[in-house]
Amino acid sequence: MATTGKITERDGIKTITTHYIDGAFVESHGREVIDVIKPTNGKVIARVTLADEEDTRLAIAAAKRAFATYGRSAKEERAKILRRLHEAASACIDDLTAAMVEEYGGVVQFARPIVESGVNAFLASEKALQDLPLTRSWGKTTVTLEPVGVAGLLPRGMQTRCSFASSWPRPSPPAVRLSLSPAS
Amino acid sequence: MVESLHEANLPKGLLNVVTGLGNIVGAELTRNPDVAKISFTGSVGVGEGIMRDGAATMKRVTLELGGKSPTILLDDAVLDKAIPAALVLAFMNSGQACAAGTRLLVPKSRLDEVKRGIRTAMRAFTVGDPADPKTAIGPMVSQKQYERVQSYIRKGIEEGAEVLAGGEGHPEGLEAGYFAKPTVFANVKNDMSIAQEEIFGPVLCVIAYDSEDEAIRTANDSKYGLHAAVLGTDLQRARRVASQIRAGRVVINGMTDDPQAPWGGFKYSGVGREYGRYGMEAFLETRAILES
Repeated sequence: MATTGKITERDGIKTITTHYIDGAFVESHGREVIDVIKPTNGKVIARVTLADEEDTRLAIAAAKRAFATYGRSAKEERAKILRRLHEAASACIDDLTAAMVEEYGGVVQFARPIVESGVNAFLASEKALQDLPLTRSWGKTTVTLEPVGVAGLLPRGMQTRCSFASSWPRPSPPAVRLSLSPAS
Repeated sequence: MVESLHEANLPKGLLNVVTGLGNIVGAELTRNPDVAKISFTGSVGVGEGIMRDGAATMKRVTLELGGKSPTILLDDAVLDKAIPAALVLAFMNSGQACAAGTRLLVPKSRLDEVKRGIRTAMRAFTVGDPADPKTAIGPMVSQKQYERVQSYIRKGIEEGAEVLAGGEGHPEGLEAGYFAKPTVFANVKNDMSIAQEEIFGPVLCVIAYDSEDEAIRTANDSKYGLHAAVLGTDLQRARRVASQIRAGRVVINGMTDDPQAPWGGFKYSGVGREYGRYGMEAFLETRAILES
C-alpha cells in the first residue's frame, strides 16, 4: 500500500490532513477536525481535517483544467484509464474491506462483496462505454454524445458519521437547519 | 481508497477528492458555476437542497436517495427459502442500506406460518463483531443513528405493532458500542410511521395482505420507489407482479445484482440512474450538427 496520502498514526489514532487535488495530496486549507469513532466501542480511531470552500474551489479549478484536454479524449483512452483504475483498486480490496469494517462497523460478509462490486464497477463501466454508440448519423445530420463537464460526486456519508449528509443550508427561515442521519 | 487510485497515474486533475461537510464542500460544489453536474447519494432532505440550490447554475443532477423497499412474499413461496431471502434483504448492511427490504408483505393465509418461520430464521442473524465472517449484523454507524433506531422501535410499539423479535436496547453483552437488536414487527399497518419512514437500521415490518392486488397496492403505497423484491414459485406470476411495482429495481427470489443494470429510484427515491449505459448517459450531453 502506498503512503502518499500522509496518513500518520500515533497511539492508535490515525490522522489525515490532506485532500487529493490536481494529482497530489495537499494539506487542507480548512482547519475543522472531525473525529472518526469506531462504532463497536465508541473510541476515537482517527481525526480527519475537513475541507473548506477554498479547498473545494482548488479541486474544481483543477478539474476544469483537466477537462479542457481530457474532455476531448477518445473512447479508447478512457477505456485504458478505467482498466488502470480497476487494476489499482484491485490491489487494495483487503485494505478497503478492513476500513469498512473498522470505520463504520460494516459486517465483513457484506463489506467484502460490496468492495468487490465497487472495484468491478470500473470494468463494468468500460464495457458500458464500449457498447455505447457515441455518434449517430442520418441524412445530413450527425448527433454526438459529449461529456457534460466537471462533475461533483457526493457519496453517502457512512464512514465519518456526518460527512456530506450532516446539514444543508436552507434559504428560509435561516434558523432552520436540516439535521440528518447518515440516511441512504 | 484515494491512495490506491493515485497509483493508476491518472491525468492530473481528472480525479480530485476533498473530504468535508455537506453544508460547506457540498454547498460550494452545488453553487459553483464551473461544476456542470452533481451526482449525490444520501437523504431526501439533502437531495431537495441540491436540486433547489443547483437550479441557480442549471446543474444537471443525479440523486440516489432513500427507500422503504417492499418484499412481496407470494402465497406459493417455499418458506424455507423465502424467509431467509427476505431477512437478507431487510438486514443488508445492518439495515443501513437505501435498498433494504424493510416492509415484508405476507399473505394472510400463511401469516402464522411465516411468523413462526421468522422467529426460527432470526437465530441465524447474529449481532456482533463485524470482522467475524459469521456475523450478520454489526453496530449502527453512530450513537445518533443508534438513538434514531431506538426511537422508531419505541414508536412501533406505541403504534400497536407486535414485537416478533428484538425490541429496545442493546443485545446482551454488546453494551459498549452502537449495537441495536435486530427487530421484526408483526401486525404492522402500512400507514404506521415505521412502515412509511426510512429508519436506516435493522427494523423489519411484516404487513399482511388478502389478495395479490392488495399486495401490489400496498407495495406502491410509499413515497419511495428505489428497490423491491418478489418471492414466489410460479415465475410467470412473480414477473407479472414485479412489472406492476413502481421502483427502479425489482429482484425476483432474492437479492442479486447486475453491474450493467440501472440503479436509482422512482418518486422520492431520486432522479436519474447510475451504472451501465443508463448511468453513463447521465454524464453526457447530446449535440446535433446539421448541414444545409
